[in-house]
Amino acid sequence: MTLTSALDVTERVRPPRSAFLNFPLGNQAGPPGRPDLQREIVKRALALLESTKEPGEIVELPFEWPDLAWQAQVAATYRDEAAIVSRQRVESETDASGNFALRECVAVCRLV
Amino acid sequence: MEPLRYIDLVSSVTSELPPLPIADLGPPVLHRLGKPLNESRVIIVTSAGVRLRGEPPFRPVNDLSFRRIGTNTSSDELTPSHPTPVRRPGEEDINVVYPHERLRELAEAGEIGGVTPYHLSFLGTIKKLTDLVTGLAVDMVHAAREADADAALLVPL
Repeated sequence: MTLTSALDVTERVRPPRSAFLNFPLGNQAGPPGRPDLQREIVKRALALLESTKEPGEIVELPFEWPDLAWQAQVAATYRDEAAIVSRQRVESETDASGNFALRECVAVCRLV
Repeated sequence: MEPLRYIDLVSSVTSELPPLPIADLGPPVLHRLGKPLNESRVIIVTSAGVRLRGEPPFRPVNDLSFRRIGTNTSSDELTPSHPTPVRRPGEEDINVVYPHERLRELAEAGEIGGVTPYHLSFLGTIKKLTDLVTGLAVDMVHAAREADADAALLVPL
C-alpha cells in the first residue's frame, strides 16, 4: 500500500495500490502535529488493502490542505533550493559516460 | 485543486540537466491480503531516510542500504535524512513520513492486527535502479518477511 502525494510520479511508477493525498510532498501521513488527522489518513489508506480491485489503482483521499496557497509555496521552495536539487540529481544520475539513470530506467523494465 | 506536478517542477528547476528519469516498472501486480486487515501485521517502509539521531545519516545519493527501526523507538529519537526540501515536515513531526505512532494506535484500536517488531527505512535518492530492484528491494522483502509482516505501508519521498 503506497501513501503518495506525488500523483504524476505514482502514475508513471504504478505501484499495485496507492492512496493519493493532495498535500505538499513530505506530508503523506498528514500535517505535522495533527495526530487525529494523521490517524484517519493512515486508516483510510490501509483500508484500500482490502478494497482495491484493479492493479495500479490510485484512490484520492478526501482531505484538503488548509492553506490553499501551498502549491505556490512549494514551487518557490524548489526554486530557492534549485542548487541543492540540481546537485542531488547530478550526483545520483550521472557518471563519466553521461546520464546513466535514463539507461537504468529502461533496464529495470526488463527485470520485472 | 489540481495536483502539483513534481516531475515538471523538478525538471523546471534543473533544466540544464537531461529529462528527469522515472523508472518504468512494467504492469503492476496485485497480491491479495492473506487475511483480514484487522488480523494483519503491518510494517512501514519509508524512503525518507529515517534514522536514529545518534546514527550517521544515509549517504545523500545512491545509498543502497536500509535500516531496521524498532517499533518502540520514540519519535524524539528519529529524524529524516532526505537532502531536498521534502524532509522539512518530517523534521517537525516524524509521523508525517513515518507514521509509527499512528500505526500503533490503529493496532490498539483493533483496526489492524498489529505492527511488526521493527519497520524499514532507506533513502529514496537512488538512481542505481538495477541495484535497487535486484538488491535492496529484495533484501527489504526478506526483512519484512522475517518480521512476519502481512502488509506494508510504503511512504515514498
